Amino acid sequence: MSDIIQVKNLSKSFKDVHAVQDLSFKVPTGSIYGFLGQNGAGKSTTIRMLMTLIKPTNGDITIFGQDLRKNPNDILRNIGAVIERPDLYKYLTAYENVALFAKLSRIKVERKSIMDLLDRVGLASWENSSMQIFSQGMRQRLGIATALVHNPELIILDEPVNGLDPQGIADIRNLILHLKNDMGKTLVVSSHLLSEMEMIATDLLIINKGKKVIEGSINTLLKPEMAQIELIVDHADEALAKISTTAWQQSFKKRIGNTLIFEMNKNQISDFNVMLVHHNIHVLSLRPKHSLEDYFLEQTTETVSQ
Amino acid sequence: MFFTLLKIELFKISKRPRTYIAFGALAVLIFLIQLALKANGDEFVGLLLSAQEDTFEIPRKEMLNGYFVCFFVLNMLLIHIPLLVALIAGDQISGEAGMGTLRFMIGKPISRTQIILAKYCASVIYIVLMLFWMAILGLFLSNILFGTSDLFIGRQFDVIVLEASDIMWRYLLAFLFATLGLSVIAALAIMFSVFSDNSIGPIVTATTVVIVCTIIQQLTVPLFENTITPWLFTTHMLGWKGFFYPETYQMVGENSGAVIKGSIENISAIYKSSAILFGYILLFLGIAIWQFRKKDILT
Repeated sequence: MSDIIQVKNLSKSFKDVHAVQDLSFKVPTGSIYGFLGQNGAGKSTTIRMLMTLIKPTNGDITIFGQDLRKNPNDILRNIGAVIERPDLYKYLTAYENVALFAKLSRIKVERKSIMDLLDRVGLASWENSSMQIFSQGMRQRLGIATALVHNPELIILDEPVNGLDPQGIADIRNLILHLKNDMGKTLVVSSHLLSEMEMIATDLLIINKGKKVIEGSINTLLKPEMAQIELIVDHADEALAKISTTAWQQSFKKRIGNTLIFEMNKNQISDFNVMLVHHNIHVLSLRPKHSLEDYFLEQTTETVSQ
Repeated sequence: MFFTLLKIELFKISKRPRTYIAFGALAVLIFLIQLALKANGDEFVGLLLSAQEDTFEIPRKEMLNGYFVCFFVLNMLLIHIPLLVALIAGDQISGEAGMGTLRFMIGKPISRTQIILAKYCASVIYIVLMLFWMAILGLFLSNILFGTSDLFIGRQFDVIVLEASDIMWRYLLAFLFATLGLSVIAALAIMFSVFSDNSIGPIVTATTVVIVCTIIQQLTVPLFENTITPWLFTTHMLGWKGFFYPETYQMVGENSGAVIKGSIENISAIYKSSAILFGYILLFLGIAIWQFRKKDILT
């Protein structure tokens, strides 16, 4: 699978603030690329650089195999994006907004295509309503419609589920999956809702303080067949001494107070539990720990502490 | 792409309620002027030409006609219209930045230079429409209400009488010149608009610059008159009046002092003013494009 975006040593400074530092990553074609980071990590700055809104201080961005600096218009013609809030023209109707962005994308779109698109995002019956009366969720969906109107290969969505209710979040999630699975689009999606990202992303990039923490496919990073076990015991020294006499010693990762972290295959958890009982280790809690949120906090916390 | 962009900009202008403020304000102001002149026109003309009446015989009744009312309207309003132009042009970039739509525009395959030029051209078209509206109300409606006759224009030391048949082309050129002058204000407001992320700042700044320049221009002190005033764009925006100052016969005899039909007294001054106004447009737009091309869109 080739890479639709290649970013090399990208940096952006605003006076003394280094928003993005020496960031390199690759977005595989056909992926849903999850872009994660805490607030102020540099996600939006990076996305703005991909969209030519901000000029990088250093580094190279290649999209569709072309240098963004040299061929911005050729590249942007094939990108659809909603950056942060879906701020469209409030004094225009839903239909007018989509038609306007189609023209800005240099394509001629039939009325039927626009109506189909509005239908796909659930706004067909609101075509003649001014955006002023739209809820946050409706605005978000309209923003996505404007991003899709020119049928781009690459779609960039910055915090697409921000401010949405559970139904709205589910709608956007399904739309993103539909775009990838049924239409073969590549999506770069930034979000702070990690559980959502876990459900849709095929690849991940985690950044913190403008620097890359980790990048890779979600299967490699989260190892879905593996689980981290968080074991809380009343006497950690005694428990560790007993475990060290068994083969489970190899699964031991680290100790934080009375909490012991092990990593093992998910189908070994019941055997592990039997071993604990067999060795008369007093267990206060045993919890598999394998969510993206745990992984994210682990990665970013380590970086912060460095 | 440029014309598509221009059409989009005109469409956006047409959809904004504030666009129509200028048209409404002009209609009210011109109507008030017409009403006042209809009611107390004779006294007003007397007051206006009191200095010249001692020297010249002026037919007051004939003087108060549609052409005179339009000249009076232009005199009064062309000083204030820049504020209405700034209201639209000052909002062109900063308004989009404030609304957050600028980042959607920049993310499209359009050059930033094209965006500035399209927005400027849309502002100029808006000015043309505004002046056309002013011409309809100030010239054609006044002609209907007050009738047509020769146009009497009082200057400091003389009175010019333009024959009715020698007036319309002068108005046409005066309105064209006014378009050029107001286009400078549009370029100025767009320039400030690029530097700001909210609408109010550029509108107020552009308006302030116009007011300050107008005040300097009206301060008849040598310090300014010989240095700054000849180069102020507000000075040259008044160049439209030059179209109403014709050449006169110089020779002694029956025609001495009579107006030469179809002539303009000082065409070179009009050319010079036009060149300076063009220069200002290029300067302001140049700065706007230079700044906008390197600007990081953070809103």
